[in-house]
Amino acid sequence: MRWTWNVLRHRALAQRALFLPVLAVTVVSATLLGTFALLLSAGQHRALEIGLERQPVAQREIDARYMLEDDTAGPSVLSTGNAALDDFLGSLPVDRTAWLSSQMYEVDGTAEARAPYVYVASYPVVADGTRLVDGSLPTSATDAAGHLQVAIPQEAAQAYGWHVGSVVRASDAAGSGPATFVVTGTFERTGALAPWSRDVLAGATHDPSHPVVGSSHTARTQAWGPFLVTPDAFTSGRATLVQADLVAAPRFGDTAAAEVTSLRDRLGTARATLSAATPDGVASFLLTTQLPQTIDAAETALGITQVGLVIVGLVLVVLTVTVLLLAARLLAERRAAEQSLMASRGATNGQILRLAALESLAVAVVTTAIAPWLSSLLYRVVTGVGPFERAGLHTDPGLPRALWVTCAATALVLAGVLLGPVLTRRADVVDADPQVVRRNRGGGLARTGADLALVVLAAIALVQLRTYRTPAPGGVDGIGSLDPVLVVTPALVLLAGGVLALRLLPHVARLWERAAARSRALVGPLAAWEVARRPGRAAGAMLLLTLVVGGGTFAQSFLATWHGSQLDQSDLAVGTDVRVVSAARTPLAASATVSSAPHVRRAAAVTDRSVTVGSPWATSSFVQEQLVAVDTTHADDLLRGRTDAAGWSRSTAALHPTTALQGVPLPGAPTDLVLDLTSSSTPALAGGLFVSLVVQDAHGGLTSVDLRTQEIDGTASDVVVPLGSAAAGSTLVGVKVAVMPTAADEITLARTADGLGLDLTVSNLRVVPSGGDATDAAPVPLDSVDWTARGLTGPITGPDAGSSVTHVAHDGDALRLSESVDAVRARSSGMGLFAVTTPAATSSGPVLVTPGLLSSVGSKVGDQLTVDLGDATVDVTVAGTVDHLPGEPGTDGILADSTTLARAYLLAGGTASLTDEWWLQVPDADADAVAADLVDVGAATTRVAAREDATVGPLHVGVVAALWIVTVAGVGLAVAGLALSATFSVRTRRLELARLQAVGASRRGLVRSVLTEYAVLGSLGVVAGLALGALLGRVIVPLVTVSASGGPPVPSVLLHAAWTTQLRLLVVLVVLVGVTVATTTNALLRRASGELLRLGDDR
Amino acid sequence: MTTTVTSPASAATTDAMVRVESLARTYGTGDTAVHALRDVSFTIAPGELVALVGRSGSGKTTLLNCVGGLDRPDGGRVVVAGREVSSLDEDGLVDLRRDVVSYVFQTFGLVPVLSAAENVGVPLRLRKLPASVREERVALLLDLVGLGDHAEQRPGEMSGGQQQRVAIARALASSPRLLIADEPTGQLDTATGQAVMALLRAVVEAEGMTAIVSTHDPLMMSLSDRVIRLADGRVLAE
Repeated sequence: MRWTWNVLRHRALAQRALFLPVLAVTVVSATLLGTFALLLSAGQHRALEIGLERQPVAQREIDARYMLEDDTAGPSVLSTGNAALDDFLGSLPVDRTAWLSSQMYEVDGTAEARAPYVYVASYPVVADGTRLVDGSLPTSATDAAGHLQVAIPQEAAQAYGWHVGSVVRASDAAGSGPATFVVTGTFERTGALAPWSRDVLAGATHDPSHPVVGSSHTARTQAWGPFLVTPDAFTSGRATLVQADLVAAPRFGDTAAAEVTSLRDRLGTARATLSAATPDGVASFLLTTQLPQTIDAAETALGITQVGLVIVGLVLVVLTVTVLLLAARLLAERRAAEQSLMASRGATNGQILRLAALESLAVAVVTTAIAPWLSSLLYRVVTGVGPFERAGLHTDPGLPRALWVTCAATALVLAGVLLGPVLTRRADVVDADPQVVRRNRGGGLARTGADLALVVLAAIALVQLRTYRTPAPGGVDGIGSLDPVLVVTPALVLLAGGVLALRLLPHVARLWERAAARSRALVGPLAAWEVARRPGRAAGAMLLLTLVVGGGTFAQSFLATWHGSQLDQSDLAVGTDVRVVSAARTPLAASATVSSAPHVRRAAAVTDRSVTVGSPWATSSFVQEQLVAVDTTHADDLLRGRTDAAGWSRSTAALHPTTALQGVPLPGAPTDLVLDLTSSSTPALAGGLFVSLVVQDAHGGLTSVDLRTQEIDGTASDVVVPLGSAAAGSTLVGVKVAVMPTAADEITLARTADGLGLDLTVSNLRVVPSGGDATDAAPVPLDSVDWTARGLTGPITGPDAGSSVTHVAHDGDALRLSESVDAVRARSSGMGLFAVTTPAATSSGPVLVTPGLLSSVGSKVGDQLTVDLGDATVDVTVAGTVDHLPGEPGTDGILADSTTLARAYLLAGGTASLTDEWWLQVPDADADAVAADLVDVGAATTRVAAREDATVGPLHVGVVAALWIVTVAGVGLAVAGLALSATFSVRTRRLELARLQAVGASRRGLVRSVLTEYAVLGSLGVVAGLALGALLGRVIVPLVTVSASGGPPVPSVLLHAAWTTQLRLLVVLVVLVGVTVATTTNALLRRASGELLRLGDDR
Repeated sequence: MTTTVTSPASAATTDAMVRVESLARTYGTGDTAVHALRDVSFTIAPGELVALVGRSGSGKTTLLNCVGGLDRPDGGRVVVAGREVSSLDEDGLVDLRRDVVSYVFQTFGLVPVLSAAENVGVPLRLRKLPASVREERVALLLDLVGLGDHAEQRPGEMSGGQQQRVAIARALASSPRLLIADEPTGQLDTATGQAVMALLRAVVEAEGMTAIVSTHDPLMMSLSDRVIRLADGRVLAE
């Protein structure tokens, strides 16, 4: 053992110039793989934390809503509910808030016929969402007199003359008891409406038409609130708690992955768990949370990233092992003479092998000791630059056990690689002098067999991958869900391709040798002889270059294609530049806000909802599918996302409306409409008329504005219709009237044989401009458009079509409508009529449908379909198919024009809003600002943000890091490997080259010869690598570029080659390799002197 | 670029092919310094075959390396064919080895992956001769050394004597004016060695060149025109 130790020590010292580069390659390789391990472990954990932390609060919240039936149960419900939520969340750090509100109180002593409502509440949004106008916020539940302290909306204070110190008396609207409030201050609501979503009036502070408790929405009154109180007003029972939202928003910034997994598991049973803990006095319990979906989406995205990391990491493994094999082979060649000498001095094969094994073990130990630290450092460097730092991944990963295990395993494997050539040396003997390679036929056959097996294995893996079309056929659920054969396919194909390319080397070398034989000079032929006659030495360099270039090409192709696909997917998923899910009270209000928002080049009110679709002749084939209706006349402006057709404009050309929906223009930006309304009926009815005006805003959205219930008494009433918002470019497109009979009317109708006659006249329409009042109202003629009317019981276009008759006439400023309804029908289906400003349709509107929908309803292009929009069903004609719906990728459904749909909808009797979302054309640079400006309209998604999140977001950026690491590491490994190759090659041939110098060859000539040798090998490697990389890119990249769910992306993958980047990297690679080889060779040859010749060996 | 330095002394003795004056070469420094050559001087006339004789370590190879420009002396000077070798730059030394001096090594110095013909052709490629001329001369030289039938064999497939004969043919290929042979028979058996010696003598005479041959072989000494004896880096006698 002592002898062995001495030999090892002396050899390491004497051959340090040989030994250190090998150790360096091993350490670098283990460091790179250790860094990948960190990316896969600490990096992914961090990405999950950051990815979840950066989700909007609404996506992370858990809202436990308790509706109380017992007026006295408030304190106990809050106490028990909070305790249950605490138990459920465990030690997870959370932000807790409570939204508490009372029932409606009727205010006593006002001049109004029906007492206005108020309610008290305690909200966490008060600090950021209100501005104190006067006084102060309550500091305690009650004052000394026992009055509940409240801060009230400034509007309510102005309306009723309340001020700080006023005492407001009220009684429970449900009749359970009186209450007295003392005003401590007045406030205005400020900022966005969205945070007030849990408020009874959603932050409006005033509802002029609030349903009266117990009236089934038939009676309305004004409602004001919130009257802000301190939380202890509820916990102490001073205020009657009716609704409590106990909200918890977990903080994931420093949460361990295991805690996230545990929380996700608990969320699966959260409803049952919390419901079981519901205390007495609760009428209903509702748990609302998007957190499970948020965690699932984050973990799936992370899984996709891990797929990419593993695929790329395996490619890196191939590169590092190849470099080390090259080093090991050259080391073995250099050691051949020494081993022969030792054998001749009596050393056994076992002793020689033990020496080599101990040496490899020493390399492994040193590597294991160093690599984890370097990996940790490299990880910090990589994640500290550019997008990785912005993604929040820059963190100190420490030295986790996974890193040590990875580095140790890598070091052991690489040490085994170093040992390989020693074990197989008997099969491939290289004599030190005269250095002639004696090919062993058996070894050659074995290599051929191994190569063949590798190629067959790669082919099988490739076929498998093409069959499943994803490396995670069972779904993406962590690394464990990956199919190892499918994930390793790219690395296998790369290796097999490299091995196949090597088979070309002897043939090319022979051709080169023949050509060089006729040359006059020595430089070229000397290089050709070296490559052709020592192919084993040359093969290593070429294989390395082939794999590096092939791997780099694959990595860059993967990166460019993945990046392009992520952008395509983001574009199609958002569907437009800025997409706002409408949460405004009315589309009209939203339209006004959208119209005033800067940077918006075009806006459209969009319908995007699930509807029931079917064939009118096959009732059994109704399906629930998505409907997207958008202004198709500006498709190129509004729609985003690559479609496989010729672009949105051309593919939606068939949807353009043939008949415009021209309403009665409402000039300026009116805030109110004023009109005269006269109605009468035969026989006379005691009930009222419920009248609605349908207004279309400038962006195509419909808003139904309800008027107060009108008496049917034949007298004209002057009605003021508040629009709620000043919106320029609006038009009146419909008037809807519904009779609301009383019980007495029912009896009257039952006794009538002639049916019901109803007459309605709308006249003297005026618009009140913004800032004005009724005296400033400007008249609007009603005869500027053609009106079409229908009864509520069915369409009527003639004087007598069925059981009801509608007469429509307009003369100047009056619209006269009359209807005659069969008494039986009137009682069963209701009475009323609906006039719209568009001619009756002669055909159903065209739509595009996805092939999947066509298949599911068994229809074809040209067929008619019915679409149920809730309060109306419209017929549509299938004009063609569309691969994907904008904004709804991967979903089957219908794409329609919004104008065509609105017209058909109105004609079908629908008056509800069709505006689900707003799609906006906005310059990328202004998207965030627009989203912020429209926060009152609803939650906005910007295409720019979606793109950024999909490409450099914390859950995705790991792929970018991995691909660049592999590319840069590949260049570095190639330079290191070829420098090693050149060093060993020149050192091994040093005596030979010195003799050539003695014969008259110049050092420059010999350097040129070595450079020529590597240039040819490099060219072959580069060409083979590029071809291999291109093949991998074409065949494999589309299969490993997957969607957010792990399946094929929508839209389909478009291959990107990134040739410019490739070219730059190749130039860098060639220059670095050339300089390294030339410098190394020149330095080594400078020492090939007469002394070397005198000594007769190549020490 | 070729630099030729001609000293007044060498100009005065233009008839000498090799002129060595006070040559000194020391390896290492201090206590471990080895004085391989000390104050060595001699001249060799054109066409002379000189045997350099001495025990191992006497400085023979060092002297030959200095004469052939493979090693640089620490003192004194060497003039070969009118060129002061010790002051030539790298390009000058390359020209000297390519055009004036040829070597025959004890270990033959053949490139193992090249055939006999390719080895012999190396000096001719350095001169960029046309392929046809090169092939003709290579064939001639291999015939001259009796290996015409072994042109395609590689060194590893030949005996030591055959390899040395290939080395001699390679040395003759560029028609050098000075042939330097460092113990050319050192690795050969007696019979083969004698044959190689006879061949050397014959080609030197046939080509009209000057030769310095370091040897222990009495036969070589007998075949030479003159014998220079070295001991401990000094010339003992001629």
